[in-house]
Amino acid sequence: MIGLATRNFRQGRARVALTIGGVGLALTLILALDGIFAGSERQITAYLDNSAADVWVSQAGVRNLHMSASALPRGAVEEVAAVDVVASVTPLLYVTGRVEFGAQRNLAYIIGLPPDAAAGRPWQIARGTDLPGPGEAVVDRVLAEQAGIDLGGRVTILGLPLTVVGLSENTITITNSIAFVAFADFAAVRPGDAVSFVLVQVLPGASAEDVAAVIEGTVGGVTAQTRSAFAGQERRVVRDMATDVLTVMSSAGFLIGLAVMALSVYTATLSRRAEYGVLKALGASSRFLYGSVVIQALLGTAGALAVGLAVTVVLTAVVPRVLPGVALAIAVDSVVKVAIISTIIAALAAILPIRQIAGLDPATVFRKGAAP
Amino acid sequence: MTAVTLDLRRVTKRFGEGDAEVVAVRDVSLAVAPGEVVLIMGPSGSGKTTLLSMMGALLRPTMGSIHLDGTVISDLSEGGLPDIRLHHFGFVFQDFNLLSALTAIENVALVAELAGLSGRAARTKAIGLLTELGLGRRLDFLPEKLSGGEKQRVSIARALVNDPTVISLTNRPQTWTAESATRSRGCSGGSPRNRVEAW
Repeated sequence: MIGLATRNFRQGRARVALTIGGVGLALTLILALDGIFAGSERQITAYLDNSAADVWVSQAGVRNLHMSASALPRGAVEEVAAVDVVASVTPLLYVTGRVEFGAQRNLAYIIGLPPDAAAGRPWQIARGTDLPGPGEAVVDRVLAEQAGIDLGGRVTILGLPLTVVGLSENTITITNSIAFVAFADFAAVRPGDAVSFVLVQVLPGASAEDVAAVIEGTVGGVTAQTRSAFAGQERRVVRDMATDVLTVMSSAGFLIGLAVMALSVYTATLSRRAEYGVLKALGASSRFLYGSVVIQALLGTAGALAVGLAVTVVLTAVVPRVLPGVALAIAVDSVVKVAIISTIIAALAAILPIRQIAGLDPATVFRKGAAP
Repeated sequence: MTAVTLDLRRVTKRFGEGDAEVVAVRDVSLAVAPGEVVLIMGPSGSGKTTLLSMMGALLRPTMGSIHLDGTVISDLSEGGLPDIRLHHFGFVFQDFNLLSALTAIENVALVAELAGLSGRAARTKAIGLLTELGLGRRLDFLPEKLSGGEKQRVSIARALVNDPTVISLTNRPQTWTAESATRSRGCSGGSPRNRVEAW
């Protein structure tokens, strides 16, 4: 069965190439979108993941960074610091704003860092320092280079003209970048003396979960989450925002792939209708005949999956070079999902040809001209 | 073994209903004994192909019964007929009807594999038959690379590979070569006990 299916599949190379190419591109659409989504997720939580904080303390009810605002009274910083096994606390100021590189403006998470920040600093620096002083800023290297700005260059953040003293790596996402300024500069333009978050480092051996629970129990009006829990909430927000788009686009990819594969298997079966009739007449079982069609469809989708994966791997290397804010990451669960989708496409694409074979009258082979 | 291998008893085949009804075969009885060669001849449209289809378990009669070695094959369910065809009948179709994607040896071996032979055993048997039929140097040729006579001999090897009880040849084509006829008669790889030919 496999031998016949393979030979039948390989005959007609143009059709095979078109099928694998067409379905492969449809699967690429799904894989690439999943890849962009996974890459964006990693980018968006990169700051949290690399914050060096064990626990993030925010205003009660605030569980993520994106599109949220948190305000904690200054007193909360001392209260958190007083909790047993807390090694350090870093108050942060945070707002979503703009970084102006001359005429170029970019949306950014603006982070206000105190001079003794033990956590929350940029985690990878290309050039310069990772801790801006008053009148200084650390900005993303890619954006700075696009604007022609290097160390010593001028940017405007929160309406303040600042000097670039550090260029950070991996602080750009599909939607925004991250810029770091001095806590004092940030506080000067922000009314009140509240802080946005308190980043906590715990003593070695202490449990971050336990410390978070103690902080929530002893400090009023705060929500304390471990770094991973906080990043998980951030991912959930991103997922909620993107799920509908991903579902629609994945469905489109699925339907395109199904249409191409179904058409290909159907026409291939139609062109061999007489030969299937011969096999029926010779005594091939329905299982053999149907299996042969399904294997051809599976071979097609397997080839298409390989093409889809190969193209997506190439895209993961090429896209970030062309579009610095866009990163693709191929996740195992995405590949498994697309493999399942491919199998479903193969199964569905085989239905019509199988119905056609089922309706074939084996006695037709006795008639002249039944086969080419 | 019964004295009669293939026995048709008052077989009738009707197609369509009412005014559109066509009686292709009417009340035919026929007994084929072991070793017997039967030729069915008649003008076009006289029902030869329909009769041969029923005798080959490809079509079930509307009335009457067909017995093969004592088994009433006309009473078998649709699902039981392929097995009967595979193990008891060898067909040589008028257009040879080889599978275009398979080589000569694969066309023959496939039918043996369908009957349950292992891939290796099927191949060995196919090579033996094709070599006897003078196609030892054409084993790996696709049908498109074979001449009409060679295709015919591959088709004969395919019909013989499962040692059928009955071999059936339809409308002997004009391309039926003397070599094919001679070789197939002397072929030891398959020795059907009966041959039914429809011209």
